[in-house]
Amino acid sequence: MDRRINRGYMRPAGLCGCGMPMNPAQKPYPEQCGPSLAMVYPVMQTWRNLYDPCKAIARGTLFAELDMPWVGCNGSGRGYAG
Amino acid sequence: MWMYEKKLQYPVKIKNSDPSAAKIIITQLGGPDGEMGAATRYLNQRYTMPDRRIIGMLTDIGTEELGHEEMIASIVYQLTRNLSEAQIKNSGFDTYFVDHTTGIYPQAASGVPFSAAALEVKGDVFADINEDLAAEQKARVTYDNILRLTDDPDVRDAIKFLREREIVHYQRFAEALGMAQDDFPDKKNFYAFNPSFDKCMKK
Amino acid sequence: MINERMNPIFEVQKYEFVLLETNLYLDSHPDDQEALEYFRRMLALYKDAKEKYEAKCGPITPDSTGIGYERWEWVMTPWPWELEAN
Repeated sequence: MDRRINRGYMRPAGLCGCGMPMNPAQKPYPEQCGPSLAMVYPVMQTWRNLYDPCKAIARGTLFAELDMPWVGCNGSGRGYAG
Repeated sequence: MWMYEKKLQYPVKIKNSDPSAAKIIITQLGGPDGEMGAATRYLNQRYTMPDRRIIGMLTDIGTEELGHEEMIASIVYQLTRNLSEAQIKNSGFDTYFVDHTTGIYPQAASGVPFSAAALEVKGDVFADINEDLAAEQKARVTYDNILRLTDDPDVRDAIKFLREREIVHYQRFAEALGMAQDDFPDKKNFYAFNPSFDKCMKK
Repeated sequence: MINERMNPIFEVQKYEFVLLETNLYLDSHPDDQEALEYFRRMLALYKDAKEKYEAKCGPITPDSTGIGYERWEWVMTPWPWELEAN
């Protein structure tokens, strides 16, 4: 089974699911390669922006891009940042 | 099968008892969107997944959720240490205490015992992964709400860790959905057949 | 909070955590060589931390309760939800 990691709509430039090369700048997408209705598509993560292990466990993730803390907006001071 | 490691995934060190917080937080053990539900979903869905990478994902995340069950139980355990009778009576914890003392019983904050009725194993990869995406969001919201309800920094520390894990798992399940899409032969009709059951695709 | 983590188990928890994060990433990116390389590096650090911890404080897994113990330490050391274990 072909297991290439970077392909498809919303992903870094590469092959689309039907095997045709895709240029993200090319709009509209070729009919046979674009996303379908009635389906949601992921953004595939790439290996980058790692925390060191100490910060990773403190933040609950190894990846800075997935670090999404609760902030709140009612000025209660319970939100936290950074 | 499962091995056990004699340590928590992340430390839980709560200096002050607080039985009313315990009554709230136990919902992430036995409640509808809690860690027991998550582990049960993922570890049972994995059997009929058509892609080994997705089986791996569900096994690994499901196993992590068992560790989260242990963390929630540890939080509740530490919050209900050394209680006085006055504390028990005045905190609202008395309705739990009468039936369970300070034992750890998997139930929701409402008192409803843990049930698989709150979760689904549909035997269809697209339905199951969407179920899992929703589960992670619901768990994340529950942790948001717990953060609204407690000021104790020791409790907040562990809860923030568990909350962040839900966000990471959401991304992983989104990627699993991507893998299922890539595997499926008809990119314009993902509902032509059930890849977890029908034999239309050669493995 | 993080500055108070003087408990020796924390070294093990730290490396096991990044291993798990990498493991989950690899489940959906099985051919990512950078991630595989990182996993191998962290695995060595984890094993080292686990050994050092177990030599000082007792077994984390039952199979570590081997030679050198006069009793079944596996059950005797504090359990993870006890305050002194954290």
